[in-house]
Amino acid sequence: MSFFHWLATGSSNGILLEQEKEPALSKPFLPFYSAATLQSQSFDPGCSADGPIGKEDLCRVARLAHIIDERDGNLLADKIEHCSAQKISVVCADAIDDEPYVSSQISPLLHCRSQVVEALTWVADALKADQRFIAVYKNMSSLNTKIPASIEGVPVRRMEGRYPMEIRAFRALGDDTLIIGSAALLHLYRAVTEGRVQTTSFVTVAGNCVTSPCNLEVTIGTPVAQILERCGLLREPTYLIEGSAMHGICVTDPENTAVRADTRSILAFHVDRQEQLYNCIGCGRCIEACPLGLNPHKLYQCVTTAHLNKATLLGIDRCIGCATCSYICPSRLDLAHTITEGKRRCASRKEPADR
Amino acid sequence: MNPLIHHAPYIRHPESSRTVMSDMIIALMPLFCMSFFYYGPRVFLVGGVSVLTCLLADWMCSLLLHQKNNPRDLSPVVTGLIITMLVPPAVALYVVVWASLFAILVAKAPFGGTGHNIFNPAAAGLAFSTICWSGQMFGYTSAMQRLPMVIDETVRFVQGPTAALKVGGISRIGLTELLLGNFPGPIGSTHTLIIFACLIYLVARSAVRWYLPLSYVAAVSLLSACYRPFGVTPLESIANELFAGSLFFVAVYLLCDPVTTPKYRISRVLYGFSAGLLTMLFRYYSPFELSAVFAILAMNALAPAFDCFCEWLMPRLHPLPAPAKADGKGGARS
Repeated sequence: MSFFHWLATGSSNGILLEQEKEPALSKPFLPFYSAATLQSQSFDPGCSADGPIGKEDLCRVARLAHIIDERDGNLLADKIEHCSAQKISVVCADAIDDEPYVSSQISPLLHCRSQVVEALTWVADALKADQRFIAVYKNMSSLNTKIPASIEGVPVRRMEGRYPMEIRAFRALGDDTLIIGSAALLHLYRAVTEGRVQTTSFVTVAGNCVTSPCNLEVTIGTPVAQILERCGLLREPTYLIEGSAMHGICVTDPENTAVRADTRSILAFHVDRQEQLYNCIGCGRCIEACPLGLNPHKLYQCVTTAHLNKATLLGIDRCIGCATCSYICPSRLDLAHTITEGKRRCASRKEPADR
Repeated sequence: MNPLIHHAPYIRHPESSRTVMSDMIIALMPLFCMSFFYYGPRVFLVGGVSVLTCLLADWMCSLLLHQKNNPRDLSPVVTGLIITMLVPPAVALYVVVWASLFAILVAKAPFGGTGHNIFNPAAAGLAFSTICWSGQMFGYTSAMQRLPMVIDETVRFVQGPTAALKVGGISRIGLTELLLGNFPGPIGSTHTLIIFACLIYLVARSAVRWYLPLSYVAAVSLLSACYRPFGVTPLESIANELFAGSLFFVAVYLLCDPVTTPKYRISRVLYGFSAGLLTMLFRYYSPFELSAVFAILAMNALAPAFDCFCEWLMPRLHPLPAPAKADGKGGARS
């Protein structure tokens, strides 16, 4: 960005995160099935993988196979059906994993390349889209595997940007782009060729407590505790997280918490010392880190002192909850959580007024 | 808020308040070494007394407020060290003690403690001592003279070059001497080269933003080049003003205190520039020598105004993008 732009905005447009995707990314994903997967009945797809597949056929197969897109938890069939509302000219396979440790979308892409590309081609042909591409995060360094520039003729676009990148990159693409997760495409291929229902999801198990971080193909509904037993824990974790390190949920009961279709990772961390809570020192790092140019320092003050009107004026509604402010805060304040709570309170205050 | 409930994100940047403060402390240590070389072990005594007083005062305030004292919060140590660096090496210890007590008990704790103070505590403590004991505070000693631990009649007090500058005179100290600090002055603020090296360290560790001391030095250089005494080249005048007193030290350590500076880039640049202008104004028109410290105190009071101005200005410079649609999915269909 130009000097004037840098000076005039408070923000550095996000933060650089240490990706730490190895060794999970380079190892092929390992199966971890339970009886539900092994005994699931296959169905007759009703269409051949050799010829072109129409849109209705694809929707039908996706619905029968109950394929869920891991990006947002929506049914793939619904997404393809809604595309009739407008012209789609680009179809994108999402293999961006811009959060640290997570590689559960790149892994099926790299180890089942032809299948994912084939499914992508089917979707593109069914929707009569001109272009297809695969989106991969650019800022991953020290990988053992080289990410190729194109896979089976489909270009691999390295999307760059500081974290949070995925949200902002996809907003920049036009309304005529359809984005599907690469794992959903793999499930679609299996549904069309073998009539398999989706009973599994791809999960990265990583963190400094895990003996050997890896990607697993896990039956949906497997308890977290079983998965951790499978991978092996070095020591008792302090945090057990389902989801990503920046956005995930703390798991308090691993025996009874199950993996869902849109679970991307399970992380187990051990921290040696709990940092005591410091006061805000007003360093301004949160302002520089916020990708939207908001002022988390002031928003935090407004929310904790219940000045919600001022918070709305400062733009609390625009917060996307990326948690970069919390990450970078040297005083370890829970900025993102507080601001998200404040945003929710502002929204619930406004609704009665609108009626 | 229950501190035992963990919220996202679960990974944090390795930098914490403790590392930010300890970077400042590390950047103050070389100044101790250099002043030990010039003045002997008394500088450690002064430093020890100041830091200990600040720590005890801070601990006492936490007790009074029924708050748990966080020993990893190193800000009283930084305050004590900065006070040490700006007093003369032969200063009486009670002056240092009173300065530290004022800094913590009056300028920091009543406003809410760490992170909530409006005025830089070290600057406030120094201003207090200057006003109460100005003779003690400006009685410097020549460099390369080992001072006894207890000041007695053998110590000869001289005036620093800033006194000459104040009456419109010219201090004929060569550039090398100015940069190395081989002239009478406060304990730590005369060693310009070392302060510059410490500045590079602090900028690399992002404890200090590079544009803040730069804007301050730019303002000072501009005014000193324009209003120089007769017979002095502009560069000589800039060198004299910048390196002769506490100005460069203040530009690096006091001006960049994270709690009291504005938060936006534009407002920081304007703040630094205004602080430089105010410092030179005080240098020309006020009777006291520590003009940079007083200028910092005055600018601390105005720091929120710079932020408000910036908040008014920034949307006009950069019209913000429209907020995302209600479903949060913006551009692409996904």
